[in-house]
Amino acid sequence: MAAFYTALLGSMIVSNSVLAGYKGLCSYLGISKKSSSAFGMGVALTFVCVLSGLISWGLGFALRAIGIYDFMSTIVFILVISSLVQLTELIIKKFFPSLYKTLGIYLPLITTNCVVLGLALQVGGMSDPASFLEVLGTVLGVPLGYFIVIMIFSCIQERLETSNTTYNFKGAAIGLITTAIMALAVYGFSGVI
Amino acid sequence: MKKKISNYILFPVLLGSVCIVCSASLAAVNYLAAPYIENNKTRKITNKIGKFFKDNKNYTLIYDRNDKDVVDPNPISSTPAEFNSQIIRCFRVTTSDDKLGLVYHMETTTGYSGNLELVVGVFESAVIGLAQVGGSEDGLGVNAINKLADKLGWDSSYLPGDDLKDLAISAGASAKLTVPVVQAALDIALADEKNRIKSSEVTSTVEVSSVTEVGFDEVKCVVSSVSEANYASMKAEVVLDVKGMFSYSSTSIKIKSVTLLEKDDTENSGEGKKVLDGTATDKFTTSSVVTAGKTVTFKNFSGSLEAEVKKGTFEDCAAPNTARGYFLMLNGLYNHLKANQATINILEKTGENEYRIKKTFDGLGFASIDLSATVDSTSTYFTKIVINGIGGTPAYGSDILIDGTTNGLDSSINKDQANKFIENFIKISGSGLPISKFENPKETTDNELVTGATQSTYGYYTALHEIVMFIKGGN
Amino acid sequence: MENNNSSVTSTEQTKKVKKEHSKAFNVFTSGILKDNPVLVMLLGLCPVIPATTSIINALMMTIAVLFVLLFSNIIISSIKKIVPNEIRIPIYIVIIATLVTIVDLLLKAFAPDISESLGVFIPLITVNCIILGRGEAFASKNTIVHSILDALGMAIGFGIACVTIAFFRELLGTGGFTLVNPFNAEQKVAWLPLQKYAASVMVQGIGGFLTFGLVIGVFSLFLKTKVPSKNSDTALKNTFTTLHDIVECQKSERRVK
Repeated sequence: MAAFYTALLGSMIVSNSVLAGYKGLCSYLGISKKSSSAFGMGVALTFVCVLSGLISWGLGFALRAIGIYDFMSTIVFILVISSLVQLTELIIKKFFPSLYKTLGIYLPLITTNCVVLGLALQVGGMSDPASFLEVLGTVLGVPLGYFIVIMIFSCIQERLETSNTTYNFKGAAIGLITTAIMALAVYGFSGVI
Repeated sequence: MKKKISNYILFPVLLGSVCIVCSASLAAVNYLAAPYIENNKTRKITNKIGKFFKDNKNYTLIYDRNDKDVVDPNPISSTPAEFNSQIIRCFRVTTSDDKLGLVYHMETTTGYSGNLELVVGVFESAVIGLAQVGGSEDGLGVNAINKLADKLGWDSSYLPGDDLKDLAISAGASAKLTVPVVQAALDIALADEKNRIKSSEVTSTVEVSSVTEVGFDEVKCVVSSVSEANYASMKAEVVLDVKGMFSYSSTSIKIKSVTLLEKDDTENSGEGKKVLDGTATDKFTTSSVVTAGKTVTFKNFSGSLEAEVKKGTFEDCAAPNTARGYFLMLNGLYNHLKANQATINILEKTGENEYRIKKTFDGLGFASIDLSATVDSTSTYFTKIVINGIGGTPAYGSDILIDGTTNGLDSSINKDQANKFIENFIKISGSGLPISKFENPKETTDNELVTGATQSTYGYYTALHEIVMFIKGGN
Repeated sequence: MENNNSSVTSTEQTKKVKKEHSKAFNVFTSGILKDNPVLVMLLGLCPVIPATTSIINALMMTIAVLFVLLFSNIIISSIKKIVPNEIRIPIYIVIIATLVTIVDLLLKAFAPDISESLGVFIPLITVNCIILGRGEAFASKNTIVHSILDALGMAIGFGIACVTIAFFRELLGTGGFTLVNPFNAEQKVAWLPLQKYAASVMVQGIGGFLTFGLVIGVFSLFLKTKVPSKNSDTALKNTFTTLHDIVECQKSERRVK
């Protein structure tokens, strides 16, 4: 059980995918104008990450058994992710149309989100079959960490919109400088787990 | 009209064919690139060989943990010793002046949060090069190891027993855990060197003919050493002072006396005799030859002869072969005792109402204890308990048993338990500590013994329990 | 009379050729400064921070992106007529992933130290918004020549952005510049005038975010372009609402059927 919590907290805070892993910046900057859209993105991403992470872990074993992991991993994982996203979109559209109105626009964006592919590659490389709890902790922790950061950033963005920034630095520039300060906080955690 | 192929067939076929074309091209590129990638992985390590042994003539891979087909072409014996499981690869290097060195690619055990992959260069029983090539460890420990790697070289090498404490930077929790595992790995590499390269130095055969415990505080041994060449052969009776000590490799064990039964002190017309009598004034004699009234720390003889030569221990000695012979004899005794550490279990009645016990426990290093207990005239109470020594416990063990405090403990639960233990079993008040308290044997899992220094309290309790049983047995 | 006609057609022809040339020129130059993918359109941000820890890393990342972008644009532009609308996204993804894996294998074989320092971000070029976005929005609708020019322009723009950020990060973070031969890590040329004042935080994540933000701001200041924030939302949405278009298209097709 300790392995699960260590992996969960480690991937959520210490190796946060945005602030310490530099992934997922496109949607991080583009989506977080409103808290509601950030929330929707976070939930959708968590769902896709957990499923695709577990599937990638299983596929990693299969690919290594055949011996083609080194050069087929990227293709296989990205196909898994994009088909999972398409499937999810179809299911949500058919069975939860109201949910589709809030989350639907973000699902195609998750296909090109570096966080998901990064997670798939990281988890696919774990070759110890006994480390299931650790894998579970990682596939939960990574999107939850992203979720926390994007929620915080969207709240900050709402304030930034009305603040008196120099004209040319409005938007992405000041957002990135704010992210630098958040990254400073996370940097202090490095080496803890 | 052309028949339109149904979409359900066309789409998968198209997607499938694209996938097949792409996979085929990838397999082709992988086939072409794979040898280069393999090469790069080993080149990282072989680059270090060139760095450690500049101008080396050649090197051969003599062991690969992952490849059973690699065998040592020139083993030093027909049944070479097994490689330690932490060693991944081993290369034998021939230097430009035809000497042999070894380069190990090995991994350490987990330090702070992961392990390290190291490349270690060994030449003549010293580590002359160290580099980190991978591993999942992070943090300050890695910085400390890189500092050590920069410092190590042919002139400032690492010898077994060297102290690396100053590398564990005080603020670095990870450094405190990383440095010991790296040191353990370096020691493994040095120990393995003896199995791969025949030592060019002459050695002697040492035979320890008897080891007897004399009471609680002394051990008497008879050891003889016969040298193959010109080092002096000798035989001696050695008495070690082991009061309160439980392990022969402890740094506090002193040699009380060395009585030479057979010796060869003819070297250099009388210089040899001066060395063995302890009257010579060179470094070795003054520091390590035992004479009447002078005790010498046993650990002085723990290193190898090559290491001592490198340290310059014998450089100003007028009878170097005699000194070496003396050293080899005691070094052989040290190695023998360290390897054959027996469990200690002595219980005796040392006076009218006094008993003493000295005991070690298998697998419980901190539980070793040497204590003396005095009972009252009716053998109902312990009136005095003196602890002569406890096995290397962290300070909080001795705080509880010897000082009766719980200062060293951090958790309040442990502090409560420890205070209860002190009240119950250590504190002597009134007419004394009833011996009935120690009548039942207890395990380390027993709640009354769990204190945060459980091994120490278990050892203490069990020792007193055995004394009680001894008393009840009519002694 | 006939002479008049032919002269009219020839001027028309020259006008057409000039227009085509200027369109091609526009396609090429827009990616460099005006529509710089990283600094203006805010696409493909993921590899920027880890790749800009040193100038050599930035150059190698640009070369990798150039390779993938160029060939993916060429391939997508050549097969745009054969591929049916509904499955074009998965096919583009497979093609891009193949090219990225080829680049990854070549880097691992011939420049292993660069491959190690860039780490997992080479495979992550697969989901780089620039490549899929340009392939989807431009190459599938234009000729091969225009696609090539667009790819070159975008890659040069990416390169300019990365090298600018890497310049400042390396200068302030290590005190100077160290040029390492990517194929043989032993050969280095270092010029470190400010080594005593180096602030190593700049080569880590914090400095990366900071420099990136400052460069975007200063860039828009000098180019007097529109503020990037508005563009990012629309660019992102434009590139990927096309996925919705497919689904809507499929729906409408089924209705028609």
